[in-house]
Amino acid sequence: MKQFILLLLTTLLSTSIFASDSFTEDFVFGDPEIKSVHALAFGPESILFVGDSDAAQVVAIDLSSQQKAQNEKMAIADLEEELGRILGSEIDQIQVVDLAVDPSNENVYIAVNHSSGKSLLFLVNNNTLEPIDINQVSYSKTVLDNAIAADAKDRRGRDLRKWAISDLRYAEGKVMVSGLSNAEFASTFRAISFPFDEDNMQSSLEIYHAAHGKYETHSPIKTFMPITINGKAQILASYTCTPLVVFPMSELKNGAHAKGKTVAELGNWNTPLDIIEMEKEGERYVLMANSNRALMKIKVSNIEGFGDSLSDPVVERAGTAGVDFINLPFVNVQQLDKLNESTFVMIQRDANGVLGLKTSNNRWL
Amino acid sequence: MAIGILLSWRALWCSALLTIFILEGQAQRPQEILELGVSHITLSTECGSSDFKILKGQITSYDEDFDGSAIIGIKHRDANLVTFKPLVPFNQGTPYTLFCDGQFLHFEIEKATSYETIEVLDIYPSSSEVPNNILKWYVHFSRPVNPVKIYDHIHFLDQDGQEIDRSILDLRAPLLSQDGTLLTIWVEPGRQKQLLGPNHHLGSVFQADHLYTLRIDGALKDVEGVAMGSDITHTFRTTVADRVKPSIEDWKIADLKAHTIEPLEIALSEQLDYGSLTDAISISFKGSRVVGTLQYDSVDKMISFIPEENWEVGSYTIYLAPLLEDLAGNNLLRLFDQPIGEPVETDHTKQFTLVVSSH
Repeated sequence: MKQFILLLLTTLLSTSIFASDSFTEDFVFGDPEIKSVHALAFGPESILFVGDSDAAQVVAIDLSSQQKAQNEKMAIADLEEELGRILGSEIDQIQVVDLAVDPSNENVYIAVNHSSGKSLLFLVNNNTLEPIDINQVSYSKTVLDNAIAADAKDRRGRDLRKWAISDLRYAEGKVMVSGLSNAEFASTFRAISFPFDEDNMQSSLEIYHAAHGKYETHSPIKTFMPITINGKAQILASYTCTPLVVFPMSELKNGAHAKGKTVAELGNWNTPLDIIEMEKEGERYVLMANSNRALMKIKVSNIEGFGDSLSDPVVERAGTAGVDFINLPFVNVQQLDKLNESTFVMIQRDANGVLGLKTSNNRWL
Repeated sequence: MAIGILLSWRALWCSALLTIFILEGQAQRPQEILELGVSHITLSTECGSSDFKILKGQITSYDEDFDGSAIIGIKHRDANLVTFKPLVPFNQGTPYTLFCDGQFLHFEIEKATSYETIEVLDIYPSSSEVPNNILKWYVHFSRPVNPVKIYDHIHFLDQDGQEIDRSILDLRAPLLSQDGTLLTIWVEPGRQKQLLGPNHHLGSVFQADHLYTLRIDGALKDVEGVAMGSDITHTFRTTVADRVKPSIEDWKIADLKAHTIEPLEIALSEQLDYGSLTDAISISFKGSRVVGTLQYDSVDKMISFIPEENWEVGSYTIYLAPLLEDLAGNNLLRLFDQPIGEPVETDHTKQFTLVVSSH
């Protein structure tokens, strides 16, 4: 009996300790009232962060109970056609907005916005798309403060101000969100403590541009990723005007104005779309998907090699500048994520305009 | 609302809103579909008790993809009825197939004749002249617009009618107002901002003293999947670039009469950005915000504010948020092309006093 009581106490104690350490301790079950999905990112414990521009919120959804999908040979040849078929809609009513991989089980999720205003989440399972009900989930959420001023209405009573999320990532206990408003061409960058509390920190960022440091630029971040550079936690960000910029996470202070350092200019007709880190044989690489250029591979060691000189404008040549990069034979890659240590998954539009889901491995690195 | 119309099967024969076609050679079983709307279809239990499927298009036979092609939705059964609610609404004008008991029943929800097709009500700025470094346009639609790939439907044309490549910032998350009717269009800032890479190599999107056209193509749909139908165009001429901060010093404010709700009229010295205007101006009296309606006339460069309650004798303060912008993105504190190292005004709210007298 004593042994049983001891076992019971030990179990209760360990359960209590586990519960207090869990990121989902404050989660509730119900409808997080997601109005739109514009960015996805996974955090710890299979928690999916959803960037919801229309409701000006970030929602954390617990997907730990989701079964591991069958994705041995993942490939969906025509994603939009498949979505059109299972939704009964035309292709121009469907927008694939993001892709995210749960690192704990390699489950692949795809966010889709529909013309009706509905946002949908699908799990890729055995090359089919299984809907995930995001209206009945275990969740926690935080409102993006001052995203929309409550009294900012025109004579028709419309809210005119809008802040649209462009990317979202998790690292170091923080959910980071970049976006663009229609009020100002500026680079507001939010870092929100997770589990969510009142600490919704905002920073503005400034960058130098290659070859012409004459005017200040507060261009919004299009895509970014947390990365360790020279042993320090940094953000590698790419802007709507294409430069690749690094800034330390330590400079992300509430209300602070951080100055990023340009490490590359990646071409003038180009818009970065997604960015991930992969590793092969001890060498780390950044892979970047672009609107008008092939998938780019950049050695992290080359970025680290820029050192202190990064604050100077880099010298431009032939439309690109800064760190060396290699174009991989994947064009029109729109979404990208790391599936596992050797494989990445991507959504790519081919030469015929068909949007496909496929994987590739690190033999290209 | 047309799409909300639900009809019993018996009423369908005399209705133009819904058609159901039965394939030749198949036994007619019209009783299978009892009600039909964009958001649900109700079947008799005779069909609903089997593993029915609803598919997009007029399917007439099995194929290898058949099983995986069913439209996703929720099936709800009770004693007498089976209801299917698709994950997203059915489209009007799109053929669908109900497959049950080995039969293919075709149906379609036709657009109601009274359906109000989406229109463009306003384009801002509405004036015929704008600086060639204009940064934003706004399009006001009559009903919520399909946000999906919406910028694919917006085009700027040069005076030869040729589309200007890379003239619009293509955003995955479109900048639409909460009610889905006001779209913000950023003219590609990389080209509009001096000496950025795109500007350096391609120049600004618009040249001074040229005619251009903003075209919204008719393929653009509303949220219910119904297309606008015909193109909408707005032609404008460009003037030289505006590289001067907006100044409130030249604003002219008409006198107000106490004990009236006559509009406060402010004549501006230049056109301002529509989106930044609405929440940039506030009026205070004795420490309280004056509630009212703001209107902006970009052609006459006039702001008017109509209070809900009478003006009183005394001093009113008009506050202007520093982010109030002109058409070229210059705000009260800084230029859009702010030279590096040149001091920027500190972040403070501009204000001036308006005295209302009894005369």
